[in-house]
Amino acid sequence: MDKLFELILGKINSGIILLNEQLNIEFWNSWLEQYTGTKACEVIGKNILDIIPEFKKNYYIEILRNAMKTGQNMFYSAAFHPIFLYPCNYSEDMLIKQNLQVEPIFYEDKKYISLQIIDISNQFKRVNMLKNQIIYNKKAEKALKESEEKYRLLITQMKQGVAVHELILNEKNEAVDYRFIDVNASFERLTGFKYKDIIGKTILEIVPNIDKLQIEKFGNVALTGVPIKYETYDEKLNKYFEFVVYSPRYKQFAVIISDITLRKIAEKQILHLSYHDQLTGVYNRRFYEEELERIDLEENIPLTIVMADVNGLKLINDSFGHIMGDELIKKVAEVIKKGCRPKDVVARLGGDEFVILLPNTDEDEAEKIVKNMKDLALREKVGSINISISFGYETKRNKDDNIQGIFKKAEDRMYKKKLFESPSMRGKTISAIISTLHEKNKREEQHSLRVSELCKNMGIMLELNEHKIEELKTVGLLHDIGKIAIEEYILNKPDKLSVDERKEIMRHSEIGYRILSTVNDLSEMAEYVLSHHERWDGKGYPKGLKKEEIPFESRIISIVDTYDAMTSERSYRKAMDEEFAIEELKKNAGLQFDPKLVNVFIVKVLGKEM
Amino acid sequence: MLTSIQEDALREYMNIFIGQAASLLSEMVNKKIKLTTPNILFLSPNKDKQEYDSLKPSFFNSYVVSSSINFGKTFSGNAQLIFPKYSSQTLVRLCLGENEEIEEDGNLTDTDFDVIREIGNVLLNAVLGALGNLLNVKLEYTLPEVHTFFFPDKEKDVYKSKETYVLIISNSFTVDEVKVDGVILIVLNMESILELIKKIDEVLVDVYG
Repeated sequence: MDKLFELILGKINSGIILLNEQLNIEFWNSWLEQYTGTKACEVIGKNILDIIPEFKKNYYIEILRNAMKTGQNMFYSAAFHPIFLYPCNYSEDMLIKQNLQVEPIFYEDKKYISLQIIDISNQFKRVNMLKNQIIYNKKAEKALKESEEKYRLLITQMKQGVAVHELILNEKNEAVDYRFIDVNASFERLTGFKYKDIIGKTILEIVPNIDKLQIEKFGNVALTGVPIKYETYDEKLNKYFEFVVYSPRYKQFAVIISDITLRKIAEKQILHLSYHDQLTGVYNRRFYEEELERIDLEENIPLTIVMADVNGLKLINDSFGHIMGDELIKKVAEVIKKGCRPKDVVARLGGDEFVILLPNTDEDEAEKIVKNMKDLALREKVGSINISISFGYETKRNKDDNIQGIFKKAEDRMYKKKLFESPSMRGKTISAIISTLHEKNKREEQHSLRVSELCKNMGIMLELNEHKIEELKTVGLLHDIGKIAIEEYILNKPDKLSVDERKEIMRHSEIGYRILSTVNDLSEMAEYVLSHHERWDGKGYPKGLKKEEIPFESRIISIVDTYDAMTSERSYRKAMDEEFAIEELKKNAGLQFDPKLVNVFIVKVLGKEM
Repeated sequence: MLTSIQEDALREYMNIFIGQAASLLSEMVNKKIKLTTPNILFLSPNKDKQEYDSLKPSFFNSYVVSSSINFGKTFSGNAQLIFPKYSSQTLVRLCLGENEEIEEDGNLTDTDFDVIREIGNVLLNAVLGALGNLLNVKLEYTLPEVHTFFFPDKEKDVYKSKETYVLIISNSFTVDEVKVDGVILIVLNMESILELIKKIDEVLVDVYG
């Protein structure tokens, strides 16, 4: 019977050890022999603690003694306890898990302990693998969900409208319709269609009279995968849209709609700016050059080119400032435009030059137009200044004539006119400047007249020729012309001037010089005006010229100017009497003034003794 | 069936053994496991049906996991450590230190069952050891078997005869600040109960005189 039971125990698929009270091994089954590689005969009679690895001894001693003492059956799961016995092929990288059952047996007044070792390594591995798979799947699911959520949020919140569609094909595999699968909030906003009204529906159900070409176009994208992009303008909404259509999947297409109205407006503005002159609003040089090529066609012959130049711009800029100068240019542009017809092209080439292209216009017609513009110009004024424009034109009569040549001829004609017309214009401008200055400041007018008179008398006393005397008279009148550019409040200030204000006033000699330099006839006088505040001793301004370096005429003005300044009422002091003024002149002869000329002035002009 | 004094005495007595079980468990899982037994119920499910129905744990109406031991001879019966199915998974996770965010679907793996088997073993041994001690009887009992089932289906089988009495010791495991509630259900026949009550009284006499 024992043999039978031994055989039966040998068939059991787990390790069975029987220990006696002394914990010696009485039975070691065949499963264990195979598992551990240790034969029963090698261990029978040995103490179990000698078989267990050293470092586990104490752990299992406790378990076995407890079993003996209490007689309690105990189950030790692999999850909480280390391996009891090592398999024969054990290596550290192997995962070995064993459940252990410890059961005391009482038989014939003897106590035994039965140990059952159940190897659950494979089970454990399987379970672990499953658990890891589940964890992995859960993580992947979570990541996917988060990603989906992220993209959903993105799509929902993006400013562009997005709509996804499924294509509907006929038997011939041609696109005949498409169904809305999904749209975002922006799509609803941009198109006016509501999600609940269109999802699941086809485009023909929603917009029955839609252009079939559109279905074909979108269908092409869905079938070929080739994306398209285009812009449209919606008249009803007065908006521009950009459509990007692509295929996320075969037979599906997505449309991304962007409202590009603002961009379009900006583009138009930039285009406008790139072809128009910012100041006057007429076309600019860039446009003109392109237009010239475009307009140079047989059908536009006779084609006349008119060149127009504004006279005195520099003078006005220098004397009245650039704001006035700009006003002049704007007014000229207006005059030109008014005088032309709608089909004529007016462009500002730069500075003070304009060009006008007159298609299908011969010389006679052109002459009429130019006359019209001139008449219009006469009626206009900028401040107190008249507008003076010089025109020159040439007509292309044959298709073989070179257009650049025509332009050159027009330009030459214009320059000839300019030479003729400018001086009188300038002369008028100078008068206008003087008038303005004197309007601003009555005192200045009186002073200039007196200085002019005194200069003339000096000329006579010095026995200079007629021309020179006339010149001195003029320069006396013009010597303070630069003050036109000085702020009124400085000119009229009742108190003493600050350092900065003084500096400002001192600029008037240079300004006067610049103004007068623009006029050919007055260019010499410009020099005299420039130096009328130089000193004999070299301590004057602007250049610090000394003695005879200072122009003769400037030395005269200097004396006369100072004398008159002393003997007239100022905003900050009363007039000084003649004696005092003469003493001052004498004191400064050789310092501020040419001593010889001081003599002439006092003795001959004023008739006093030295 | 027990007076409140008897109940208190029994509970105090159990607590000693259960406290030892808690230490053992803590050592096993290498974590602090707090085990408390809030109350003990001792009644006949058939005779005191209304009381039983109102006082029994709520999870007796659902799926449970049970680790059970039969003990026999002079003092015989059946002892079970019962958890609701969903929280048995929690308990196993806590004991094994598994922190992964796996949805607790109440499905236990083979190794999970082994863990519950061992926990049941430790606890039931403690309780039966206490009873054995009290009764001065050497109890013989089997290794625990773990099963999962719908309790109401098996309830009748658990309480075999009309004479059956149950000792329901509710217990609360706290691991990593997570609480898991279960019960130890000890089913006894009349003879065993009378023996038990007699012994409890003896203890009381010893204590209170």
